[in-house]
Amino acid sequence: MSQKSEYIQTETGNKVSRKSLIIGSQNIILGGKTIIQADCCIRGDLRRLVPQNQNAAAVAIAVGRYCFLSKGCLLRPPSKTYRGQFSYYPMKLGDHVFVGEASVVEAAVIGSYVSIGKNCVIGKFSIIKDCVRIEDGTVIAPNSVIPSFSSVEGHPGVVVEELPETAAEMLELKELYKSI
Amino acid sequence: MSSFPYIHISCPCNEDRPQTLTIDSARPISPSKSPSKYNFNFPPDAPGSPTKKRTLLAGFNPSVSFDSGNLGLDLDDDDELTDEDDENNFDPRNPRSAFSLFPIENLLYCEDCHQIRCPRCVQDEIVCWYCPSCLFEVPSSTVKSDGNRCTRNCYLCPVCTALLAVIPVNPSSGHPNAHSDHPAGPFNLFCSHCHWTTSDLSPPIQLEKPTSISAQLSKLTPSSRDAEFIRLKQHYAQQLGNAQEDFTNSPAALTRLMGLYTGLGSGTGGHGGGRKGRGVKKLEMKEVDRPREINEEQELEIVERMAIEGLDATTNARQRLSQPHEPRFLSELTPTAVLLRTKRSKRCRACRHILVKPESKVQTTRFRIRLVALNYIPSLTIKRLDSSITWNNLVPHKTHRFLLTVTNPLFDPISVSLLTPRKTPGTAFASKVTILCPEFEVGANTDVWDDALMSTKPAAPASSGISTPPVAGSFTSFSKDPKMSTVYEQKRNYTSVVIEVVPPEIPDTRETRIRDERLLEIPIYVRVEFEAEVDRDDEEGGGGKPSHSGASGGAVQRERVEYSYWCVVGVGRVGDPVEGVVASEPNTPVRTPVGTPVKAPRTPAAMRTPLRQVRS
Repeated sequence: MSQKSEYIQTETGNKVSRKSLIIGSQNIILGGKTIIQADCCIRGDLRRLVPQNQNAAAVAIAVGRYCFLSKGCLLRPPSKTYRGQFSYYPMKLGDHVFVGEASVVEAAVIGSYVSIGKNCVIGKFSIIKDCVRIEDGTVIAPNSVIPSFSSVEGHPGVVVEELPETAAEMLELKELYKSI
Repeated sequence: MSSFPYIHISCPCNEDRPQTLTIDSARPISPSKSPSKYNFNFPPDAPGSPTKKRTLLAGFNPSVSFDSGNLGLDLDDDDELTDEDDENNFDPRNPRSAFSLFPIENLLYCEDCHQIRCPRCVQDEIVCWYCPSCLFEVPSSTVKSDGNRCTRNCYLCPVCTALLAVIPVNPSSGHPNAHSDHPAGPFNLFCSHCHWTTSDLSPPIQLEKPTSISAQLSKLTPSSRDAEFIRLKQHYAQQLGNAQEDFTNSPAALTRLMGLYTGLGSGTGGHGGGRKGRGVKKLEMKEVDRPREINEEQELEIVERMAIEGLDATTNARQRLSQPHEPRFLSELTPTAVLLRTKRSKRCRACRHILVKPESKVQTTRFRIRLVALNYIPSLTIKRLDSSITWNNLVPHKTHRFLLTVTNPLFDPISVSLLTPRKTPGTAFASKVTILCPEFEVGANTDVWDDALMSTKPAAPASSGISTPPVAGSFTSFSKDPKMSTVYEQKRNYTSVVIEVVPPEIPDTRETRIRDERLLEIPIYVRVEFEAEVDRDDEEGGGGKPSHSGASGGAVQRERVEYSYWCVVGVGRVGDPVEGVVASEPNTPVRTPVGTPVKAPRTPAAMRTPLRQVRS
């Protein structure tokens, strides 16, 4: 299959692979110019339990602009039992978020200019701030917070390095979008 | 340096003298220059005088003036204007080089010195302290009094360093009904990564409330080490208090300080000042000399316990050393509070101007001032022209072609000269390097729309991007391609040229492995020239980043600016020789041979120039 026909392009410039698995698409917001590669799985069906009478717009996963979801990655909203009730909670990704191949993301919030490497696990309810690089194979523990301008490595992931001031430029994904 | 290719730029701070005030003596600047324009001094370039200049007392006095006349005797071998390639080129294998090589992203740029600044030549100043976990700012007074750890509820697992969560000890007993708003205690700290809890300790730590953990923990774990620390602190604070009056505003203070540090002050009392007959008070700084006691009985107990519980119950070195009481057993570990992190501003060490100033709010990533080299100096990237090249396994004797792209961040078009030694220096196994088109223009970093409106230059079409890889040895057909010997590709603000590399055959011996001879790094000297607009308002800076309205009429003064720097291209690693590929001369370049560029400054002194020089 050629490159052209592999992706479905939406009005806002999102390119979604035909081979990706997107469940509950009515609960997923893509900001535009986001690329979803083959074998990605996005679980929009795992959304917050809303009481019957409330008709709130239940967004399970919100993705910003210029994000790139590599082959075989999984975005799954985080879940927990709170006040005796099991529920999923929304997940939010900022702009220019790169998710490497076969990584599993269950974060609550991921900021902008974040690069997640291959084979990473981003634990439940973790919060990743802007301008963060997560190296390949990192396991980020649930509930952890990664501050801005960090490079994270290991299991559990610890900040190993501070990124320079140019981190936003380094992690920008506009060129990557154009290349697909 | 693991992944190829990489390009590192040499910060001029690896030179042994101040950067701001030196000037390239090898290349005469035009005689009509005005020395007062910038705050670095131009040497008085007397006509006919030797072009060689040296600073005396280099590194000590940054305001040393240049003298062109009488220093002819002070020539170093390094500074000799020789035509020999090897001695004068930047050597990436020199052990000192590694300290000054940084990717361009990590470099800053001082607008006043017109110089690259690397992390080694900037000075950090703390803007604020914050906890990287709860992201609350910690006032510096609290840092002074309570130490550099989070005093809120942020604790790390002592076993695996993940963040600990507060959970009730008996989650099942919590009522799933109405009162479960406030789950009943007691509480544990629980690591959701390795499932360690504070109940694993002996005795187990259980908290009454899910909040104010620091206060509860400090009550529950009265550490003898903390008491020891308090005792030490008191002792030294007292000593300091005694010494305070001595050290303040006294001319003899320095002498006494020196006395202290030369060992006279310790133990027997400092006589640094007294010896000179000044009659000052003796300064006694007593150490708390209590050696660490090892109780044999206790040690035997530990050994016995190890025998019973096994090695799995003991701590590893990292766990042990991260705790002040250095526990031997996992059950003695206590949760560690999160270390604070800082936001820092950065100053140029030479001129004290601020290069980076982040906003003081913890959560923002914006900067008030951010002078990064990326916006001031052209950046290089390298690509394979031949996709069959594997970076980690370059074939000896084969001509590898790479595409070197220079991107211009400035709003003025620049002319670039790339110079490289013919053979990579610093090694017995030199690779032959040729840049096929060493001098070229790079367009201005204008808006994309400007470019679309202007008629495009007749540049090589970009669509013909990657050519088919030539078979090794069949250079003849390839060399006829005119694109190879001229600019390969030219777009709005970048230009690509071809660089040819012929690695030698490198035996795989112990010695070459130790020296990592197979690592192929090419030093490239980048010289950039452009006409910038003179910003008369800014007498000091002149604006490293010329304003956009460069094309306006003759009223605006233009000046010729040039600067230069060395960079090192990590091309890859040379592999084992391949059958059939034999030694041959590399493709002869059609144009100026590289490595002996006519205009090239050949001395290391060239590196010592201010990055940017101005010729009016």
